[in-house]
This record gives sequence, C-alpha cells and structure tokens, in this order.
Amino acid sequence: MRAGRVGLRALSWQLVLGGGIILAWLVIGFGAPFLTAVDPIKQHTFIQDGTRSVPAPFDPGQYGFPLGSDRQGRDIWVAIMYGAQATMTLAFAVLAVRMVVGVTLGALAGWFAGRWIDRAVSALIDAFSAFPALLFAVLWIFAFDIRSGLSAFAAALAITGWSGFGRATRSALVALKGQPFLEAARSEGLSEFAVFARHAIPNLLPLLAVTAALEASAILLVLGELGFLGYVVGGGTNIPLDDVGRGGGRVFFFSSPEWGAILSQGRFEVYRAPWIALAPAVAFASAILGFNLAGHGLRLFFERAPVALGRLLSWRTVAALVAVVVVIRAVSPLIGPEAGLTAVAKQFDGGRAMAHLRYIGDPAREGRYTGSMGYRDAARYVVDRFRELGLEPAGDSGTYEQSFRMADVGLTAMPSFERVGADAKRYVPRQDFSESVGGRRGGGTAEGRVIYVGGGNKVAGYSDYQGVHPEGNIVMIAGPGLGGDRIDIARREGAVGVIQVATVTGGPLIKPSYVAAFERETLPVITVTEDVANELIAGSGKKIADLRSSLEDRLRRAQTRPSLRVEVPEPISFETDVQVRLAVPLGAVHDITGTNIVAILRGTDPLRADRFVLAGGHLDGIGTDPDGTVFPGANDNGSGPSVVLEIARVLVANRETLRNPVVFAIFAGEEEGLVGSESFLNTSLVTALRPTNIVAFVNLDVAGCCGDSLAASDESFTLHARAKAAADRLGVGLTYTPTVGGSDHATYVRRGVPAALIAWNELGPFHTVGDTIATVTPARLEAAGRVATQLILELAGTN
Amino acid sequence: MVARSPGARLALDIGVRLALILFTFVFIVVLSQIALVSARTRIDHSDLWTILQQAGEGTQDYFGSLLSGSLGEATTTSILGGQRRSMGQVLLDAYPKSMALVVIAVGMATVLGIVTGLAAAAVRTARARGAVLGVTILAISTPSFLLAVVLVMFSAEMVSRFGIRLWPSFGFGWDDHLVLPSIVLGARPFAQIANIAYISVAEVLRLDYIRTARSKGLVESVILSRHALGNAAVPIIGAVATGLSIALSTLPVVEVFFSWPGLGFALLLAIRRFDPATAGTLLGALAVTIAVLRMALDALAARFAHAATGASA
Repeated sequence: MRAGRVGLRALSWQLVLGGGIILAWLVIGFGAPFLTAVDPIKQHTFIQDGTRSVPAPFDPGQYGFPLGSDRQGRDIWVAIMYGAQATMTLAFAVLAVRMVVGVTLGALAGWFAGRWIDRAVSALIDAFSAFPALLFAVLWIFAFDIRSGLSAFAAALAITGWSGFGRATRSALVALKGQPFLEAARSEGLSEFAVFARHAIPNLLPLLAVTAALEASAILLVLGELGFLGYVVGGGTNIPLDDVGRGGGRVFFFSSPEWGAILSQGRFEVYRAPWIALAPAVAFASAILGFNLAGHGLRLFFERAPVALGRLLSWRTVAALVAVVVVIRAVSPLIGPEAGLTAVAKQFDGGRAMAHLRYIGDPAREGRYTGSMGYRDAARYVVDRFRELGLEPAGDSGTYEQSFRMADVGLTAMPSFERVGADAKRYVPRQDFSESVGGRRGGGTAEGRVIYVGGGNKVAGYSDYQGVHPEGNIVMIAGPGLGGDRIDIARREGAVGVIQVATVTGGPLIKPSYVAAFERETLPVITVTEDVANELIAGSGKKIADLRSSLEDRLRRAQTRPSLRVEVPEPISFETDVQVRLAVPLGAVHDITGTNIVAILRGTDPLRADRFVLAGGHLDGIGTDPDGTVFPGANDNGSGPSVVLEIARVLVANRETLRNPVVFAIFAGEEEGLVGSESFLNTSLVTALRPTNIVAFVNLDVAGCCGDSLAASDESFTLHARAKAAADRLGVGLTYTPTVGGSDHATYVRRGVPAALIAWNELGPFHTVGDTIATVTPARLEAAGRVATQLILELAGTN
Repeated sequence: MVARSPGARLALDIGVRLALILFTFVFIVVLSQIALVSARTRIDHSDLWTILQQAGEGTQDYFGSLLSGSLGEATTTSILGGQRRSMGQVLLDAYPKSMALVVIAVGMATVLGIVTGLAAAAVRTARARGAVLGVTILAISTPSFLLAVVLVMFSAEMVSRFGIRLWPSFGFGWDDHLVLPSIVLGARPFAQIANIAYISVAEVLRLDYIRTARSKGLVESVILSRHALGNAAVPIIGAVATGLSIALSTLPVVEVFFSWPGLGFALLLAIRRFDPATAGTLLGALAVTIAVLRMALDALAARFAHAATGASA
C-alpha cells in the first residue's frame, strides 16, 4: 500500500505522457484489424463522384480518407495503423538484439575492468560510436541481404547500435564494483559469478530500462531515416515515370504497410501529395517523442522511488521467458490459420498433375506454338478440365477463351553456317549453332572473314574494335558486355554478320524464341558453341575460354578493384583468315491469333469478392523446326498449366477455405515476349479483373524439372517471404530463382502488383528436343504444386 | 605506477587516440569490404569463404595503393560508367560541401543553443523550466525528415499563396541554397545544446559562489557569462559533441532530400553500386572526422575542467 503510493507520486508527467503515446500506438497497431474494416492495401485508383471519375491520390478528408490516399488509392491512415504494428515489432526486435549484445559485452568489460577484455571491448565501443550510424546501417543491410527482411534490419541495426548499451552497462558496473555490498557478498563465500548474477545485474535494471527507452527512440529515428532514403523492410515496387512526366524519375509503391515504407513512397510525392510523407513522419516523431519522454520519466521515477526491480529477475523468470519464446518459435509454423491449411495443400497430387502433363507435353502437341494446331489441342484439354471442375468462364463473351492478335515471324528453312575455302565444313543447326532473332537480329545471308572482337563493346575511353577491320566481315563476340546493344555496335562498325559464342562447349544449343519486332536495319546473327568458336580461331593459337576469362578478369579489376593499379582494360581483339558464310532464312512478319484460357473460382466472403488471387502459367512453347523436329516443351512449360489444373481441383474441393476468389489464367504468346499476359492484362483494365483488384499473381513456369531446390523469384520481397513461409509450413525448402523477370509475372510486377514465379532452381534442357516428359517427375510437380497451393490458400483464405 | 611528466602524459594520450583513430579507419575499410563484397556476391549465391577471400584481396589492394600514395579510383565514375575520376577528386569534391554544411549548422546550433539556454536559466521560474525542457525534448524528437518536409511544404505554400520565394528547396550553392539544409541539419543539435546548457547553467546558478557573486552586487549578465557559463562548459561541450554526431549521422538524409552533392550522397551511391573502396574511403573520412572533432572537444573540455577545479582550489 505504502509502496504503491510512493510509486504513484514518483510518476512524472513525462512518464505518463510518454507511456501513453507508446501504449496508444501499440493498441492501434495490434488492434488495427479490429479497429477498422478497411484493407490497408486495398486500391481505389478512381472514385466515381457523380458524373466525374476522380483519380487518386485523394486529399485528406476527401471521400472518407481521413489522412488522404496514395496514388493507388490506398488509405494512408489505415496503412499507418497497420504500420504501427510492423514498425513497433521491428523496433523492439532491434532493441532486443542490441540489448543482448551490448549488455553482454559491456558487462564483460565492466566486470573485468582494466584487463585485456575490457580494453578490447572499450576500443570496439569507441570505434563503433565513431561510425555514422545511418550509413553504416545501410551498408550492413545490404550485406545481410535486404531481401531477407526483418532479420537483415535487426542484425544491421544491432551491429551499428549495440555500443550505447555497452557503454552504459560498462560504466555502471565499474561504478558498482567498489560498492561494499558486493564485498560483503563475496565475504559470504559466494562465487564471482554468483556475486555478478545475483547482486550486480539486478542493480543495473533501472539503468537498462532508461537506456532501453532512449535507445528505442534512436532506433525509430534510424528506421525513419532509412525509410526516407528508400531502405525498407518488405520492399515495394519501383516504377519509372515516363520521360515527359518528371524527367524520367521513379516512383515507389510500398507493398506492406510499415511507416518507413510509406515514408519512402511519400518522399517522391512531396510536392504533389505531401500528406503521404507527412503522415508517417508525424507518426515516427510521435513515437520517438513517446520513448524519449518515457526514458526521462523512468529516470525521474527511479530517482524518486528506488524500486527493487531485481526481485523481478530470478532464474525462474528468465527460464520461463526463454521457454515461452522457444515454444512460440517452435510451434508458430504449426499453429495459426495458415498452418491449418497445410492439410488442404497436401491434397495436391503430383501423379494427377503428371497425367495432365502426359497429354500437354506429348510430342503430338507439336510443341504448342501459339496459334498452332498443337496449341489448340492443348488449350482444348485445359478448357475441358476447367469445365469439368465447374469453374466460371472469364474469357471472351462467356467462354473460357480470350483471344488476341499478335505479330509472328518464323524460319522458312533451317538456318545454315559453313566454313568456306580450304578447310570447308558445314555445321549442324541446334548442335553446333542456332540463330538469334529480334530487334537488331534479323534474317539474311552474310559472308566474310571472322574477326574476334572480345566483348564487342564500345564505350567512352574503350573499344573492343580498336586495331581490327570489321568492315564487310563477320565479328565474333565472346566476352563480357558493358551495356549497350552490341549487335548495333557491330553494325555501326561495318560488320555484315555476328557470331555470338555460347558458354556451353558441346551441343545441343537451344532453339530461341523470336520477338517479332525489328529495327529498320538488321544483321543476321548466330550463336555457336565454344568448341565451334575455338575451331574458327584455332589459327591464332588462342582459346575462347582463356580470352573470356582474361577479359573478365581485367574488367573485374577495373570495375570492383579500387586501387591505383586500375588497369584500363586493353582490348585483345584480333583478325583471322577464316572465311565463313551464314544464313538465317526468315519469313515475313505476319499476324496470328493467340488464345489465353481464363476461369474463376469464387470465394465465400462477399466483402472480398472483388479482390482476386491470380494463379497461372503459360501453355505455349517454341513449336517445331522447318525440318519437322518437335520441341515438346514438357517442363517449359507443360509443367506450369499441369500444376495449375491440379491446384484448381484441390481448391474446388475445398472452396470453403477460400475467402477471396481465385482466377486461373493459362497464357499463350509468352515465348514471343509475354504477349498473352500483356493482352490479358490490357483486356482486364475495364473489367473486375483489373490489376488493382489483383492481390497477387502466383506464376508457375518450369515447375517440374531440375536443380536441387524449389525457388521463387523476388521482385516482391514480401511475396517471396510469404512463399518461403508457406514452403516452411510444408517442410519444403525454397530459395531464390537464379534469374528474375522473364516470365508472365513480370507483366504484373511492372504494374506494381505483387507477383512471383515459382519454379525449380535450374532450367534443365529447356528449348531443346530434350525437354520431354521423361525429365519431369511427379515428386517435383507435387512440391511446386503444394507450395503454390499453400501460398494461394494463405493469400485467399486468411488475413 | 610510473610517474610521468605532464608533457609525456599528453603525448601518450594523443598517441593512444591517434592509434584508435587509425584502428577505426582500418576497421571501417575492412568492414566495408566484407559488407559490400558480401552484398555483391550474394547475388551469385557465393559462400562465406569466397566472400572473405575477395574482401581480403580488396583490402590488400586498397592499402597497397594507399601506401603507394594514392586513394585509387572511384568505380562509381570509372570508364565503365562514363567519366573517370580519382577517389581523391571525389573526396575533395564532396567532403568540403558536407563539412561546410555541418560546420554552419552545428556552429549556429551551438551559438543559438547556448544563448537560449542561458536566457532561459536567467528567467528562473518553474514555467520557464517546463517550457524549455518540453520544447527541447519535442525538438530533439523531431526527425530531420519531418522538418524537411514541413519546411519544403511551407516554402511551396509561400510561393503559391503569396508569391514569396523564400529559399531554394533543393540543389547546391554557396548562397541561400544553404538555408534549408542547415536549418534541418542544425535543429536537433540546437535542441540538444539548449537543453544541456539550460540544465547545467541552472544548476551552477544554485551554487554558493554565484550567490556570493550576486551579494557582491555583480551584474546578472556578468555572472552568467563569466561565472556560470565557464563552470557549465564541460557538459555543454559534451552536448556539442553529441550534436555533431547527430548532424553527421543524419547528413545523408538531408543531402539526398535537398540534392546536396556531399559525402552522404556519394556514399549512398557507392553502397548502391557495391563499390567497397569508395564506400570505405568516404565512410572512413567521416569516421576520422568524427573522431578528430571528438578529440578536440575532449581536449577543450579537459581545459575547462582543469580551469574550473583550479579556480575552486
């Protein structure tokens, strides 16, 4: 009773106000789902106001947005509410790590004051407090891989900021060491460790509480500054503005509501929509103020009412806390609404997916070239399955098909490549060489001597064409590029044809897909294997691999080595006497009709009826060669649609678990430059399936073969993290795909919609005759399918 | 304990501090190498050993060229990206621009902070105490990005409402371009210094010798400037050091927002381009600056402390 009164009297206004602010943000953050029904990332790009349609961003107070909206029409106040949860969690995580590291090191130094360990730790504390904190944090966030999200930030900010706790702990312990009560404890026969743990540490607790509050404010400040500079947890989408708009700048859209992320977006819009930056900046300032006040208030509190916080600290409480944390960590993937969905995801049957692939990837489908008979057969198969499952058609006029026109170009005969003159030799297409088509790479015939031009670069101060005569000849490019269109450089240097060298030694070479868009002036271009290239330059006594590695080494030195020993890379180009002839017989560019297949499975929640999860993959392949060779495209990408069909079966059977509707989209024209998904997206702009209504797109491409791990692309860090969490729950490993972009999800990524490719981490024999059903295993299809199903269920089934 | 002459002790002290600064610089270069090589190679999924090996090579190269008398070349602007520039040039270009900003901002913050603290302490009412502490804690808690946004909005409003063009909102120049960045950079140091100046002067004013001075009929301004300020100097110098740290830490935010082409700006670019040598050099330059300034302020504080104890003895 008495103690209580003393405690109350010791409360200062600083502590009450500061504690109140912190508590308020915690309640708002963690209670956000109960305090508001608005979805923090729900977009309203237009609002119909009478006869006018008003585009976002909306001003504060307008159309029911208390703090306004961003350019995508997302409610800033709701984002701030949800952001309080993310930001506070992040700040506390950083604080915990800082405290553990700082107190441990500081305690060691303070307890052994004057010894070598003290000197070492003190030197480290001094060194670390000389670092400019913000810049150092940026450095370490990159080192820890910004994509890994919270852990990278926690680690980076702990490394840069532990010294505050270290210094405070050390000096407090040094002051404590001479105190008589410690001597008394020692004289009672307690061990050094017992004296330290039972008598010294409890006396530090008030100091640590004050330091923690002040450190929390410092952490929030750095988090805000990091966000302002564009380093945010969870990432977002960077979209280039058109050149006319603002001199080719970029805008950023946050993908998960966190104060730093919102601030990061706001910085780009300070003039047009200042509230986007102002709201999170004020939120940060208020929380920083809260912690600063609480820190000062706590100091006053402990001065006025020295309470024995040490009583709270016993081995039992520590053990209990550790146990709780461990148990929560261990079971968290196994509990919660997401974990309950694994039983559904495990209904995905790799055998059934394989059965679909046996039809789709059969050579009788002739490689499913967009618009071909084979493609139409495969498309009909998919449509029939969708119909059997009772999915709602979402294509043109009540059908499953959505058709579009696209440009197409193809070979009229097999390409040829031969060495002429004394050592005449004909090379075998797809084995020794392949054509390259699109942009500057056109059809036609060329003949001339082979000129080796390294990486084929020409930039300010450096030219691979120095000292050689490419005019009227054929240049061979085998080396690192420095940016710029190397075919165009060759054309401007007067070359009549180009030989590129693949990094594979033996065949087969891939049959590339063609983008039927050409520059006005083109060159015939082929790609040869390294063996063939070595044969062509044999007279020089050099090997492509050596030339390549010495060029790469020189460039790496120039690029990444800092020193004065900067070696301006010397070009190592040379001419040969070898005469070659190459021909790429291309037909005229013409129009064909592509067909996407689209269906919807409705969810159970009417409030979410207009927020769709998109699942899909492309059905088209690279077809056949003029000599009749079929490229079955079983893994690329018969596998994707086969998996999508099985996902659809599982979801239909468990429709009650879906709150949001799921759209299944099977695309054509992917090989020719994502034409099908672009067409679908453009058609959907005026329908309910428009990009702003898409929660996320899970794209399945090369999902049945090769490599040792399943992978997801990371254009959206958040979606990758969700895919990883989904995979964890199923006990499946998931890494990053070796390349990003390059498949239909890129179409949505460009519009700021979270999208990810789910694939195996190696491409296997794609684009060759070897890409057959035999390379695909039901187990791989099953792993990819289950992870994708789990991810879709989590996106459409939970919050 | 060996008795040393004061001169020898000073030399030893300076030697230790210089060694610590050197240690900090080497430490920063090595850490930059590890951090950025790891960031760069993470993209090709390299293992820790490869990262350490490459960072080792980079460090060796860096100090090799440093010992031969050169800072090397900044890749950020090497032949691969256009114009070639030596690291020395990059440093010479960016460093003065940043330091001028910091010196102006912290210098003004120091003067204004001390004046504000003194004035508030002289008033000596509970209300003044509450107001000063409240306002300074509010200002310390105001992040630079909030102040920057508010000031830019204010300037824009002035132009659009009243047609008054106050200061340029971005860009570099040794003229009124300095106004907004130095206000934003100096605000938190100002609050810090004013807060500490107030608290320490108010404390000194309660001491006996001040009462004696007053009873002797000394004018209040003389008491404040001669007696109180001198004895409150040590904590105030500490606050200036803290203010400097605050300003240098928040420098990149200010430079990026106001497009001020200084160290912070160049550093963020170097980090984004995974260029460990440039990042190491620029970060090292900043850290050495911080350490040297701290050393100078410590020495200054020691002099004042000495003078104070000498005076009271």
